[in-house]
Amino acid sequence: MFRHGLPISNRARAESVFYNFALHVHPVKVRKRSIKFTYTFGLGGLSAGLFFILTITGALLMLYYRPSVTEAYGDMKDLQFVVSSGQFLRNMHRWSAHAMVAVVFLHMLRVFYTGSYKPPKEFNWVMGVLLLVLTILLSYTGYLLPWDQLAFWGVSVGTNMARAVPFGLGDKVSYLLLGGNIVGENALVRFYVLHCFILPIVTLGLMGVHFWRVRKDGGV
Amino acid sequence: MELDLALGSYLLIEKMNNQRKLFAIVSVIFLVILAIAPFKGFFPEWKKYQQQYNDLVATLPQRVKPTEIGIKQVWIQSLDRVDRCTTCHLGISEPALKNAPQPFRTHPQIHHNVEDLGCTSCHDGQGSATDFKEAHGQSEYWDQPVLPRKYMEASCGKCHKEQDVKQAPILTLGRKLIVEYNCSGCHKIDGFAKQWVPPLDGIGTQVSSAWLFNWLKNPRGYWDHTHMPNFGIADSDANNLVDFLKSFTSLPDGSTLGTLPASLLNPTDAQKAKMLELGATRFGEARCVSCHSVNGKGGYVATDLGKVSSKVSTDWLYHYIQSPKHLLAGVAMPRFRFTDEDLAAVVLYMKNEFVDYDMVQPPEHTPDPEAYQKGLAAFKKYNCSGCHQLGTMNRAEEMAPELSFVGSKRMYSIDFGPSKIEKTLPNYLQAKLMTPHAFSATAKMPTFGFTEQEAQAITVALLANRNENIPEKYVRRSLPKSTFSPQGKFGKLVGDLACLACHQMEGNGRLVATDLSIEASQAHPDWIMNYFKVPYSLRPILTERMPNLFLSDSDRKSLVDYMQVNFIADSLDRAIQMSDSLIAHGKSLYFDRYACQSCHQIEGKGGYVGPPLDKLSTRLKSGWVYHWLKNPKAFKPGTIEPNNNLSDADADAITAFLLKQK
Amino acid sequence: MPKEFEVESSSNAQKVPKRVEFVKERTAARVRQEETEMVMTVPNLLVREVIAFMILVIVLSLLSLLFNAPLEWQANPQHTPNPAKAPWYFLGLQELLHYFPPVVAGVLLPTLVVVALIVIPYFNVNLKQEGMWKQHRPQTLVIALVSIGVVCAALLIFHVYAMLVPTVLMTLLMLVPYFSHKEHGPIGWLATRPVQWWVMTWFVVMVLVLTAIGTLFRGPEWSWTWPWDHIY
Repeated sequence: MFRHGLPISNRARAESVFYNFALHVHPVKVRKRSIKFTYTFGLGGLSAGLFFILTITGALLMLYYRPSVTEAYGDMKDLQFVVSSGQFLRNMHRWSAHAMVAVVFLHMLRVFYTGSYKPPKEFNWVMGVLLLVLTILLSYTGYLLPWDQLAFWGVSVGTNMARAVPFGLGDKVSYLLLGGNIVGENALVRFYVLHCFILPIVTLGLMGVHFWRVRKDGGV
Repeated sequence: MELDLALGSYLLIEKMNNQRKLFAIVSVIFLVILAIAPFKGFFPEWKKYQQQYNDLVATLPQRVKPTEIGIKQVWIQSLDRVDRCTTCHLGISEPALKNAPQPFRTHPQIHHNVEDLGCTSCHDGQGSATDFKEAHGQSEYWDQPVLPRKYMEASCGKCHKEQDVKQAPILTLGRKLIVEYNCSGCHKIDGFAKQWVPPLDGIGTQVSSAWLFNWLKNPRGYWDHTHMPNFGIADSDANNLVDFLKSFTSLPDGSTLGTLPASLLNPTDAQKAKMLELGATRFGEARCVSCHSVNGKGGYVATDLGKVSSKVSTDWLYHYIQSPKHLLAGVAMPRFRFTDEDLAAVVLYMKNEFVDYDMVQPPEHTPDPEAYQKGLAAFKKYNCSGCHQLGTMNRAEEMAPELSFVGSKRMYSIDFGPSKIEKTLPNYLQAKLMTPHAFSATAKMPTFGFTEQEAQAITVALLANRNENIPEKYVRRSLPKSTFSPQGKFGKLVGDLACLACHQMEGNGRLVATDLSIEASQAHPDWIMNYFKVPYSLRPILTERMPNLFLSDSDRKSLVDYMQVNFIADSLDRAIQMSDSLIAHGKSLYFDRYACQSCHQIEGKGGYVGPPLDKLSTRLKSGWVYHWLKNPKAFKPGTIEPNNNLSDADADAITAFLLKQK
Repeated sequence: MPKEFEVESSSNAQKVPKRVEFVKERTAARVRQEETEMVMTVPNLLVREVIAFMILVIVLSLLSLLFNAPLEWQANPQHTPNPAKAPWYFLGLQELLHYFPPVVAGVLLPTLVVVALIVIPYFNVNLKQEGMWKQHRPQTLVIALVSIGVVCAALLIFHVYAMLVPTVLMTLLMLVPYFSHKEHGPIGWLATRPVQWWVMTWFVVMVLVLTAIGTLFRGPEWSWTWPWDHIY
């Protein structure tokens, strides 16, 4: 679009889709009825948008944050008090994260109630469920990072639930997650790496598959 | 058909236009939002203050450099602090702003530098914050808001662990009170010693049941300077405790009181009158009121004697004065060398004179058959052993919460109960000290009846007990307590006469009277010998005067001999050639140059501020007078005598003049 | 029978194979209507997407400008806040934990939910989306009532009234079209709801109810508290 000017002709419009990396997830033409807002409520797209916002704000927040028990809370205070727009970035990241959990869940409901999970889209439904789980995990791992009371005990409650896994695996699971028996320095580093690297990469990969399947199954 | 098409395309265009409009509107809002989002952090409160500051300094007559707009901070790595207070408090080290309004006012002169300690090390509050509410810690999630001024000295105590912090009188008072009131009897508090309290062995033969009952119910009703708190004991508990305590009749060593002399038991009227006269004389000579008060008048060191005959038994009183430490181990009372006759007279005089005619008789009660068990239970319940020794009973394992780190107590751990006070730690502590039941009716802490000043001082001392990691290089501690304890006969006498209850020797003892460590350099041995016999005060207005202990000649000689060898400093020796010319020179210096007569009496002339200086030569040694004149504060830190920076020659001359006086 | 079509299996890349489609009874694929009008992705879809994204950013920015993200005291392992709450999306689970043993609430149920969600499309139940009461009415009623009865009994044993009450209410709603034969209006609409719709809706209602209770109605010791009695 910026290289070629506004596409006036249909040919140019078509080319702007299939010669553009970002837009090639879309077909050149779409059904008129499927771009109606109430058809999908744009929930999938909004989820992707939220992921984009979270990546940007998250990367900026990473510049000021050190995942260490002694520094993390102070860094949050610095973000709040001295970093330019630090509080805004943090608010944006936090509220987007909450929004994303809700929007992804709603997206799943929409897909279910419109029956869009049925064959041949069943594999993509599975991808979607995995993405929902990943979204919750992303939100949950990020929840610990401010290292305040809310974070610490919110996460403790969660990992204590993991301890209930039977056959003696519970303690092992929580040990693996926390890098120890309590929520401490190791847990913070683990959650940080999960939150900022491992989970986003996996999510991004699954998102690719998810979008690709949407196209293959004839969606927008 | 054509119309239809036209209409259709019109509608399509209309729809397209709607979408374009929407797109346009949304885009504008989007850009506006993106543009204003950074402003959330762009107009902070502190910028307003910095501009105000620059406006203010522009109006000053002096040249004060305006500040550059931006956040200022002090980073103290060793204390793990980043304090941004100076972002708004811009004038703290600018003397020209002494009278400026806050937040710009100059910081009062202190011995610390903001670059070394930061702000929150002393003031508390949230150093990293940059808006008023958060920085001053008035937010729900910050437990240590800025210390109110009246508790400010608490912060001194975080590093200054000395007993006496000169520039923090409130803190020092608080620490003294914590020791005096034996807080560590119930609470564990690191660094606070326990004060001596009377042991209870033998109390059964000491006090009357009625007195004990009244005392347990309300100690201050008998003596309003007592440190014993009011436990709010119920009558039944009090009765059981009285019965329980009365059963302890034997002394710690298992012995019981001896017999009384016949003269005391059944004196004839004539004998009695004579004895009362003698007793009154000896009571006066012994200067009992130096330490004891009588109905509020007299010394504050020991208990009031005004109603003592309604309290203790004749038997006990006689044997107690005869040998105080035998009956109350550790008591500071000296053993007066009364003859048996004198002693009986003094006791009779006291029994006769110091009666409580208003004593309320406790309500009648039939002794509970299980009084001992119940009394023991009450004894434990109120943790009496926390302060008092009784048999082999141990004090309860810390009954009350530990206070070693109470200054770092987190707000969540404080239960304010129904109380309506503002929820801060200092408020809590002070209210708790003044009314221990303020937060819970079932609280065990007894009522000490602190005044507001006392409660404030103790609060300050408690707030200083933090568990912050303060590097050892900042911490100041008292010098280790002197372990001086004289041996031999002198040592025995010092213990027996409780010299250290008033005098200090080599850093040991309480400083009510003079420090004796260099006494022999100061006074002539003959004078000291005589002084023991007829103690008089250099300042007759003082309450705490040396008592007459009625010492034997051999005792006095032992004391003086020891002092001549040990309490002497060779550096204070200075022989002065008493020539007439020197004396005359000294006289002129005394009257004309330094006008000493404006404070001191000499030859019947002069002021009354200082002690009279006649007859010094019988008492003082020349070296001591000389050195005193050179620097009085070296000997008595609190003296108001000025240091006149005398030359050696002038000091010699004045010394000669003073010691010429017979 | 004349040959209507020819199965072509060719590796000739130059020839375009003819498309065939087997339409079996038990598949959803059927042509209900002819393909509708197509429009160009650029600009029609793109503009909408951009608008949606911009609105999203606007809303979030406004939220971020007005409401600050919470930051409480520094983490303190010595002091457990009462109640200690997980993030809101786990509060439904935490609420379950209040009723069921940890193994059930913390492990079994969430695993079941995820597994159930994953296998939904592979069950191929009622692909035609027929209303629940369309066929085999008595058998359906018996099966439905028995399974609901089992669930309700389990809920009753563990005293999970928070789940029991909505379950019963929904069951009643589900039974309305069984007794009433109106074909239009809300009842008629309910009658067209297939069985999976009922199950999913039940699940969603449960999630909403439990999360709402956990978030708003739980105070110290996880006791019942009215939202207006505590500050959130």
